[in-house]
Amino acid sequence: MLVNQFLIVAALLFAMGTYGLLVRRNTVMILLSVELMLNAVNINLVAFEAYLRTSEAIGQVFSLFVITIAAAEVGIGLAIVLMIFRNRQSANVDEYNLMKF
Amino acid sequence: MTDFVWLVIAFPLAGAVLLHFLGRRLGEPLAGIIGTLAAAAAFVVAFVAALPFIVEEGNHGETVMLWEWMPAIGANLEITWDPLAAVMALIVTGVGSLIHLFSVGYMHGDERFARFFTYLNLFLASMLTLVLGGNFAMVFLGWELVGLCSYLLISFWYTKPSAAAAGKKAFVVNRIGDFGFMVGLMLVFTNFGTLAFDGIFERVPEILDGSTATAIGLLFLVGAAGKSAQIPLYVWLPDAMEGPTPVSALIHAATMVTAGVYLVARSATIFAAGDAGIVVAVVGALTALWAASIAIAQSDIKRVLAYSTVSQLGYMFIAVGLGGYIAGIFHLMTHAFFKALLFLGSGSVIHGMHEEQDMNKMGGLLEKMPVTGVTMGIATLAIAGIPPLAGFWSKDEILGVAFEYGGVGIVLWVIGLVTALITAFYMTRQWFMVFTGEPRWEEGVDPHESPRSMTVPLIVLAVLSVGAGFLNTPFRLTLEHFLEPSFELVKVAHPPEGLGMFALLAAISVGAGIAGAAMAGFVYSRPREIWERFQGGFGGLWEAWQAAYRVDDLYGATIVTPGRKLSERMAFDFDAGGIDGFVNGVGRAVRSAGARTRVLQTGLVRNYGVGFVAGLLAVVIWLVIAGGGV
Amino acid sequence: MTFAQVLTPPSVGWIAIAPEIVLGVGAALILLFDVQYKPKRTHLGLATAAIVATAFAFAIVQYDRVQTLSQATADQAADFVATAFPFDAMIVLDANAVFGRFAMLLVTGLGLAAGWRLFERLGARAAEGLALMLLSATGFMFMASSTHLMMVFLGLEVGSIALYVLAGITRERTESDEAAIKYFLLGSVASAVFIYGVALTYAGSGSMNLLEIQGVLARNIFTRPAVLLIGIALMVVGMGFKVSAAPFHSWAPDVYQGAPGGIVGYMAAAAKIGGFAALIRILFTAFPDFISTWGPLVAGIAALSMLLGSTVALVQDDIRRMLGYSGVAHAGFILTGVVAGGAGTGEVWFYLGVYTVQLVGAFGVVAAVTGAATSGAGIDAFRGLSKRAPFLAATFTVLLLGMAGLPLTSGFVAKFGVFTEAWQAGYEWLVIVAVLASVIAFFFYLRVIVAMYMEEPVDEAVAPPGISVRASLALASLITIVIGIVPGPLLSLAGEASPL
Repeated sequence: MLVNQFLIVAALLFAMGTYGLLVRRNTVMILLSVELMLNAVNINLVAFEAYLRTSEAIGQVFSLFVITIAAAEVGIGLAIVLMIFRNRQSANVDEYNLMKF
Repeated sequence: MTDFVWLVIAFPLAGAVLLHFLGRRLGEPLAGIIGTLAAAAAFVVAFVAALPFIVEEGNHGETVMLWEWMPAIGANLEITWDPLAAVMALIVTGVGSLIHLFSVGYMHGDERFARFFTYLNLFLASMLTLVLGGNFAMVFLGWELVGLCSYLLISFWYTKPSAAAAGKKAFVVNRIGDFGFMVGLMLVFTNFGTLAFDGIFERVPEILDGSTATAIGLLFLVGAAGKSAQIPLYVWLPDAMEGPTPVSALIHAATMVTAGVYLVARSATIFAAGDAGIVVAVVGALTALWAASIAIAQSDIKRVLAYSTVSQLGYMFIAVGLGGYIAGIFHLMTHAFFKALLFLGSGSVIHGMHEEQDMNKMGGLLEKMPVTGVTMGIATLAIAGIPPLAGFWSKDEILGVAFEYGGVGIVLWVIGLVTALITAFYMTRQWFMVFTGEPRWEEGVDPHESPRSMTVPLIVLAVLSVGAGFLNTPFRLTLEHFLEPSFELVKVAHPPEGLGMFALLAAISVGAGIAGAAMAGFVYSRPREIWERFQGGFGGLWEAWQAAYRVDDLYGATIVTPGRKLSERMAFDFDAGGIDGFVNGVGRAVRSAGARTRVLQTGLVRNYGVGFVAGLLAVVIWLVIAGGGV
Repeated sequence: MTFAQVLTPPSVGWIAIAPEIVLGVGAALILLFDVQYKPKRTHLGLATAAIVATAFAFAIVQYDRVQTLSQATADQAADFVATAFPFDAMIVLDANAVFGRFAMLLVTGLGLAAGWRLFERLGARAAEGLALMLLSATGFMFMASSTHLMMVFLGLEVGSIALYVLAGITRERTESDEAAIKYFLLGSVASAVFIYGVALTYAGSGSMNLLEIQGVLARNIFTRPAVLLIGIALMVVGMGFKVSAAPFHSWAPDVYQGAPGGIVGYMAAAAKIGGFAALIRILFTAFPDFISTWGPLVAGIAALSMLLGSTVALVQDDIRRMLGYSGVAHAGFILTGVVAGGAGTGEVWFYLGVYTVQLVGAFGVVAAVTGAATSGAGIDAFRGLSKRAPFLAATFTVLLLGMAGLPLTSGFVAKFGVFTEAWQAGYEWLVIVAVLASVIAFFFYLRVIVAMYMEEPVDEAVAPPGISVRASLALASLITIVIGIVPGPLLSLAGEASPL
């Protein structure tokens, strides 16, 4: 099995996530971009596992962990966004710089 | 046998602790008396501990281990008690005690009277740690602590902005020196694997090659130049005169500023193994001449002395740089006496003149302050190198060492002679301006002689300024024999042999001294118009001297301002555009008005992201290329 | 692969994770009790302290066990493996892990005491804060004790997510919200980068177990190790973010400034311990043979961190922000020890231990002066502090001097240690940069001390700190001085702490 195409897809997905992180203003969209990055990792893990065929199936197992953690992370992230939205009536990340001195 | 020598450090330290906690309650003058007693006790202990060296010739002394701190790197609480340490300890505690006593009168009425003596005692303990420490870790500790005390004491009157600024300047400049010293210590440690003197100096020939020794020497020179105010790091010392005058006498004339000389003398074997010594001597000679020329035109009584100190330290550097360690220490000692005397005398004058420091507003004080006038006159003759006072013998020995060295040494000798002439000139000028002629006092000033507690130290120091030179004359080398055991591992440079040669060199230098003194006496014993015509004869040169060659402005323009700009730019521009924050920028805007905040509301997190990703790419590319991944 | 293989029960060694279990279970119990019985906040605090103390006791037991293991003979090899590498070698019981726990638990205890006023202010949500604190400590302790990249990642996430929430726990404060969202967004990106690195490392070496990776790399020669190298790079970046090394430091000043005053010292210290523990583990255990490759990279990051951190800290007017940038510089100092490879482990741990204690203490003072639930701490609030609150001023002075690395404080010994290691590893230039940076650093610490002692006080009175705050500050200062005077015991303890 060739692993290259999976690597490329994953790398592209990761790059897209990074791009979204850098250009998106809406905090929720940035969260989604981070999700893209995490899913790129999942593709990698599963592809490498299929390629390497280790006995513990560690890649698959790890991708499950990543999915779970990503869910937890998004949960926390949305909670923080909600909290900040309540305080400022805005989800625009460019406005979160009121306090910096 | 001299196990008790730790008491030398312990007494002033205990004094500092006691005064810190109880000083306010003890009040005036009890706090001052306790501080003085602590210093005097240290002197007595040091004297008793030094007796074995006097009684028994060739006694090397010993290393007294007090407590093992980090034995693995040779950093312990230990004292190297050898003749060199003994001489330094005696100077520090002896002059220190007198200055403590003087301060009791001088600081009379200051609301932080007790705090002043706390700092003075703390300074003594730190300085003694520096000179008695048996390893470089302790020397470094003392080195940092004396810097801290100096900083605290310069800005003692911190409500005066100039005092606060001067303290800061001293601190900054000294850090530059410390940087060199620290790197030098790192080099020493990696080569020897220890910081203990016992494991270093004896093994220098087998471990250090010439270039490493030179490198260490040069790095130590950077440190020494910072502490001992040599070119190019001397600029802090004149400003340090903002501190109370006893502080100037103790720290910025007699003791702390000689730490650089001590360091070179202590590391003599390292300097002897490389070529750094000659650099030390050249730096010293240039500083001596440079600072002396500035001192000519100063009108502040303390600034004259400050530049004079810088210049005299240059002499000591010439000596220790050329290998004349004993000559250097000898001059260190005599200088401690007559310069402390000069500073205390000027303090007495300032005290009597109601805080006036401008010599143009003095004159005719000899009648009003006879003790101060006479003792300062003695010190002036001593520093001018008039025989048989102390300065003559020690200065002559240094010039002799330079002459004997030959080659570059002859050039240094000539520079030394010129400096001697200038020194005699500006010191005589000062004495005549202050003590003779018509009174030029401001209205309402009523000069008076200082109280007994201030004049007694002056008299003691005057006696020492006359007599200390006889400790080491070509006829009787007492100090030389005393110190020899400390310098057994190196070849100590000496003045030319033979009394004929001595007489010839002495005649030349005394001639220079008398010429300078006579010229100043001739001009400054006359009315003011004559001086002004004389000074005018120098044209722009006089103004350049007066402005200290504008070195401060030069440093300001070339180093300080760009450095400040750089760090500000990193915070404001670079960070705002690239990584982080307009940090203070936003802060300031928020504090001033909300209107400006909106202007600065660019994407913050996303900017952070850009920085992060850029760093990420850089790391990946670097590692892949460096690791041969492609 | 058969089901039987998959279902083989793992080798269990409870003692290897006993402190983590205590903290995790303790956090759950605190939440449950809070819901059921609504205990007093003081009781909750004491319970949390007891949990931390219990975990610490278990860590001491572990230390004893490690001492025994280190004398294991060849015929006890099987026993050794079972005890030292339980859970199929996903966890390791070695001195490195134990020292990490000591540091982490000490910091947790100090942070709890120093920031106690914050938990009082949180009111009904105090239990949440305490539980989150314990959970984050659990996560970061796992980072120190895992030999498996999956466990490292889990520990990282458990620790970090708890910290994100803690950063915004005051809820109504916009500054804290902002700190939380910044920390969260950048942190989750860093996590994503880290696991991308894990995945690539897995691809390059065929394993996620650090010991196995080391074995594979030692046996094989890679002609084109690009995948592996990118993996290392990404993991270094991920950990560099956690320890706030430049150029991945941008979150640190904002979060240090914005997060609630009572918790920020703990947050900063815990993230540093966790990040460095994992970094040491990954670089020293899995990639010691690549040291000539990652060494210069780490050195570069160290130099950049030190210079950027110390210069930018110079122009700060906010103490917390200043401490944030000085934290960047300190990350660089610690990395200076990391470049020496395994030889520098002891010095790195020593530095981490003493620095994090100083950090928690310093933020404790800041919280006591400017409020435990607020953001920011302008230098104005510290002017003349010696007259208004002499105890706070004195402890702050000790801690700042310790951070500055003045001789006779623990900071000096720590700096000397890492500098020496780096010099002996051949990074003379880095040491020179480091000395330069520490010289610069002297200024901004001294500036605060000068403001406290030599400037006229502002009128605001400082509320006298509570007993727990005073105790923790006294302890932190005492540690700073005592370790500075008697560094021997801690040096030898840290010296043992090299990873298996």
